[in-house]
Amino acid sequence: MKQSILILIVLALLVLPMSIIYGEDAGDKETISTTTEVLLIYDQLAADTVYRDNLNTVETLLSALSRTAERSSIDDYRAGQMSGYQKVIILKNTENAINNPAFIADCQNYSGALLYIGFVAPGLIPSLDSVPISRQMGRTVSVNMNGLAGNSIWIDDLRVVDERPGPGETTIGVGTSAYPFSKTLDRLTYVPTLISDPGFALGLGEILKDWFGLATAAHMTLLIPDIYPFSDLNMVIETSNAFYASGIPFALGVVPIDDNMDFPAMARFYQVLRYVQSRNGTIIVHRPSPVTVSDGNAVLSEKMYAVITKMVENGVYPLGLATGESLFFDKVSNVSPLNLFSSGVILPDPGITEPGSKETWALSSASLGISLETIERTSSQNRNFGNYPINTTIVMPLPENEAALAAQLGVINNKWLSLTDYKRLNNYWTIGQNTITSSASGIRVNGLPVSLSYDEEPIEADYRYQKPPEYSLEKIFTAGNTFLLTVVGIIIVLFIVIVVFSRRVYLNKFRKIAHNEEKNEPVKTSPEQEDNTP
Amino acid sequence: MNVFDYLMLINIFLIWSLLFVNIVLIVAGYVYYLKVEKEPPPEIIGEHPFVSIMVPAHNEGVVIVKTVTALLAFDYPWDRYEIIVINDNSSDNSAELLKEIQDTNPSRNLTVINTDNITGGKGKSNALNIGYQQAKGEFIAIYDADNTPEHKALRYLAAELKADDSLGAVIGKFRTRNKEVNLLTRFINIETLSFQWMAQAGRWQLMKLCTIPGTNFILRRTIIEAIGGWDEKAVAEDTEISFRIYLMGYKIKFQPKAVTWEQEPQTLGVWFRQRTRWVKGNVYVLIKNIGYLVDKDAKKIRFDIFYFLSTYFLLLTALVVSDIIFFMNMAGLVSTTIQGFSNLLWFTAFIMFILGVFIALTTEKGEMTVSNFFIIALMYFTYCQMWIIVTVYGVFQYLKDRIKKQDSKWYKTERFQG
Repeated sequence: MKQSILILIVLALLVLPMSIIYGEDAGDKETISTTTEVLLIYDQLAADTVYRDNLNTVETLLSALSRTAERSSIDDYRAGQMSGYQKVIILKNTENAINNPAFIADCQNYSGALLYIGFVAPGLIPSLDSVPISRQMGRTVSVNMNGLAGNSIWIDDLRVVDERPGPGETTIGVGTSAYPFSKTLDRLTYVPTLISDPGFALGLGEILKDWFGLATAAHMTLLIPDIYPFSDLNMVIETSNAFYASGIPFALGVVPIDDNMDFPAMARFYQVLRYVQSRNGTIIVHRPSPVTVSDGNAVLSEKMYAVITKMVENGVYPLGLATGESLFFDKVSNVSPLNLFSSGVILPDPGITEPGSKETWALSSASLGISLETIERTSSQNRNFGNYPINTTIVMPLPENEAALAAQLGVINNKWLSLTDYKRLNNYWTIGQNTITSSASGIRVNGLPVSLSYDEEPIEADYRYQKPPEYSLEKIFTAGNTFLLTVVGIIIVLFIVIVVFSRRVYLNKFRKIAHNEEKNEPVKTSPEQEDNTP
Repeated sequence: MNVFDYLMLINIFLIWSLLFVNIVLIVAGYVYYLKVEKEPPPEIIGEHPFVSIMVPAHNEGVVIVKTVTALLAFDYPWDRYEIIVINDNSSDNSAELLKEIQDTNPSRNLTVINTDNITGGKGKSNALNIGYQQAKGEFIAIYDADNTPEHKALRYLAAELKADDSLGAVIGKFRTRNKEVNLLTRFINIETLSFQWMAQAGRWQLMKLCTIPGTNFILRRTIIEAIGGWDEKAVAEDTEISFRIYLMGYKIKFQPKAVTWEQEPQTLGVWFRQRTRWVKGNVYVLIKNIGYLVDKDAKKIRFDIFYFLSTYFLLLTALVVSDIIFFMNMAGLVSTTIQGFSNLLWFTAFIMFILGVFIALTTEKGEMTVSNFFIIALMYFTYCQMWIIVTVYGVFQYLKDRIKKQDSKWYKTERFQG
């Protein structure tokens, strides 16, 4: 009896740590969030106005903050829909009146956190009516946050909260005046103006981060997107070397190519990517915009599996995903295996968001893609650039030449950017037979650490392009082919003429018979005619 | 270049050469068609020649009544032709059926010769030789037991033969009675029309040569007497007798206005067996007469021997060998370095094939249809390929019989009701 108790204790001691380990593991591998957290309601897309990208901006920010949302227009809003959410965002891009009584009633009774962006509809949210608003026409403004002053832009119609901003608050600078970017009243947060501008997007990002209660420190990474096997790979190597020499960690957004994966060009491409990894570069999968891809989601997913597996086989370890925000509006099953990445860079999709109601999914961690120009035009109060309030990724196109590389490198160095190494973040995914994790301790494939050092490997002989076969009698056959094509062409024309001519002969031959048949007269077979009936 | 390259080169040359030979025949056949259309049907000048119509029949109860009835209805003086049905060792009710026809037509020259397994049952040639013993006509006409000739068929055949002493035989045209039954019979219908308007009409137009088709033809009694009857070893007695007629210096004319309708195989099995017999028979005749290819006195039949040789050996070998090399090349077992022709050329050749065959169909009532156009396209990939198999099999069977020193067995084509 004592022995059996002892065995149980031993087993319990063995199993308990394993279950803890397993529990941690399982928790880590929950890569996507599928519980919808926010209801995003918009009035109109406002396609012909400066507000046309607002819905896209809000969606992109939500994805960049790893939040899930359900999107609905006010017209499609169903009574009681809000009550299912702790948080609601209302985006009002126009001054048009609201014609959905259920929506109006629910707004007035809603008790959760509400973020209201844009034009105020009088009476819709009673507490909003009391917010002092200054409407200014034709102003140059900039959004300032975290000691960073954004690029000055022109706004025809500016609405700001007519109050003095609090210390450390994100502000909108108008000339020498500064106004708070938003106003919070109990459960309500109000952002009076949002337009298509990185400063406004980042300002809203900070508001959203606070609104969601995300206290984590933000980081900034660097991405060179749109890298194909047929990109200028020499420039990729040169850029990698330059960044490596400057101690700049960067990520390469590699567009998956599923064709000719065993061809030498692809082998050389993988070789370059391995080299990039050895130069402190991180590989992430850059999913091309669906607009430019003819394949359906199912086909695309299948190809992605093959491509990612092939990359790992070739010592290339993609750690995340760079993608447009529209991907998060697709069904999770449709975007597999991309949904299996834990992290990604969210890039605003070009064009206007497709209208209609949709739900999103989200990655565990993400960052907002911003252009290098945005960084260039942003001034910092400190010598160090510092960080934006939310995770950001600077998207820098592959330099076209050395001069461009030097210029881009100059921007990064001059700004004293604090860039985070993407692979030192906690990234993980399991696709097919491979599980890849990365953290400050390095990259692990199926639990085993991998070296990113680069050893030059000659491309195997099998991979060499085969010389086009040399044909015998090439000239004779080429000439013969032309000759026969001409002859056959002439014969075809002759045959067509004969067929057309035959039809006339045929009609003449049987006209009399047909005529008699029409008159229901028995056919009289003349000596000139064949009977031709069995 | 390696040995496979040379083989491919020869194959390409052969295939294209024979293709062009057939193009020439198609055009020549069409020219003949236009000529015939302009001419009035042949008329018998003077006294109608006495014609003995012979019908070899082995277990033909299903079709024999219809055939004999059609023969009795010929637009030809009753006293100037006789019908001799050789009921060759039949085990069905053919004898009873023929007796009934005889009884209902007492005034007609209808003779039925019933043979048993001692005197008969040895194939068509033997049956014809038996019938010939009783034939009284100066002209001999042959019809298969499944034929339904048109009323004037015999008149046209006899008129042509009587009008021209240089003709040893005149052949008519045969049509497919059961073409609507299934796809196979549609294929056969197109095949028979294109064969007759290309190979028969074309050769007649160019070289005054035709091959006797086995039915619906007439020939001079003197020829049969001179050659000593039908070669009983030949399972393609029609081809065999054609060669003998050429050698005697006679011509064989194609008269398309003399039409008979015959029943064609409705199942693949029957088709395969019938065509295998044809191949074996033609190979027998070819080998028997191959020597004439180099005989300077046999200039007239050289083309026909070459035509048969090219069809059954050269083209077949070229197709089979090129297919084998193609597949071995695909499997990586051999490699060829010759460039070959473009796909466009092969495609245009395919279009040419369709149009070429379609031209033959434009001559016949109700055949110039879109569906037939597509059936021809389909034939290229199915029926024509089946012919390759049949030809290979037939040649193989022939060689097997020769090695085992067996006489080729006569396969009697099965008939279908209707």
